[in-house]
Amino acid sequence: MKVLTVDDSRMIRTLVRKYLAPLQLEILEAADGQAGLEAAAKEKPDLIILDVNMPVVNGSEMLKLLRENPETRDLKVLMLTAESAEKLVLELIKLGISDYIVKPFEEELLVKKVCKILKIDPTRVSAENSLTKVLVVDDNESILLVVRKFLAGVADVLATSNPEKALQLASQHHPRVALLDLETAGVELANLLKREGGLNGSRFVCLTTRSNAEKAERAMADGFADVLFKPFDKETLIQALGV
Amino acid sequence: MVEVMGGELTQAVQQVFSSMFGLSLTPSDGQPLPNFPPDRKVSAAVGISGDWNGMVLLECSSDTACHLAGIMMGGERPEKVDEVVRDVVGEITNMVAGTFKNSIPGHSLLTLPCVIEGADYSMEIIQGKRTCTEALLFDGEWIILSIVQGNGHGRR
Repeated sequence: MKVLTVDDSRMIRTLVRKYLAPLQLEILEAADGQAGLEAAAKEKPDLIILDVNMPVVNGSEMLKLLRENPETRDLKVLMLTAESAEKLVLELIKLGISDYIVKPFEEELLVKKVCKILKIDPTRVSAENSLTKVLVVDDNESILLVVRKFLAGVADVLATSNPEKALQLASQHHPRVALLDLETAGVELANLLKREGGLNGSRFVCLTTRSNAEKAERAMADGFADVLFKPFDKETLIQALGV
Repeated sequence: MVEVMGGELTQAVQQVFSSMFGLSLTPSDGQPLPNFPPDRKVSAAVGISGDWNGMVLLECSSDTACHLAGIMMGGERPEKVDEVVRDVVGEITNMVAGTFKNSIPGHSLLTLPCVIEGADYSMEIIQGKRTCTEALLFDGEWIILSIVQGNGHGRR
């Protein structure tokens, strides 16, 4: 199946490509509405993901022209835009759209809506094509950034300094591994994630300093599979997480 | 004129950073604003036009802009501000403006982002004024958001 992303932002086109990668779709791109119209007519994609504010021809105009052309009239369109003015949304609905996502957006929402429109069973998405999801919780943003950097291309990192957000991420994404800073999160959060976040079968690794080795030992007795001491290098991190 | 609340602006930028980057931004709590070196500053502006007229302005250092681009694009951090970095900063500002606009009553639309490098410029809306500035930090790096509000009302 083909999906055409029409957005003047390369960042958005890159993110859409990355988020939809596990669905094994052919992703096409266009940077403005004129290029989008040409690509739509030529490729007849199964879905167009369309921004509104773009140069040359904007998304509203592109949608109108798609609907006026018998060759592209029935193509499915999912709006993905920062623009949410009610009048505009109503106009776009009248022209015929399958759904609407307002930026900023999370990966899960995009994937869910694309699967629904294209009638793809998300549970059949090949696990082999997905990187292992790793939840990281630490109140030190530097640690979160280092982990992201070390795991780029190795794992799909869900990072937060907020334990409440961690529960939300766990429920939504079901990470197979959780790396929790003992001071920020600790055993209490681990238990909460298992109980309410659905992470019963996940691997839990605690993150702490060597001066806290005793506390880390107690955490291991309480269900953590491993301990990672700060500072750490890339190899040690990957080994501890088992990714 | 609609009173602009800094709280809505702060919430908007925090929502964007949380959703798109998984990053928490913390308010600067009265710390003095940084003076970005003139050749090491990036700014992006998105206009809002309609029942409310104004502009959302984002300012940060070139290093921060490159840092954000590296995180967002998932690869190596760019060494200097290039097309990718400008795109990332522009799109962040676009999303902040769109989110902030939801807190303004009436009908208004967004403009395309405008991204500027350097600090040797001045930008103003005719009869407008900077009505609030919110400074936030992530990992010690500054993100400064401002609202420049126009004096008039759009067509109803």
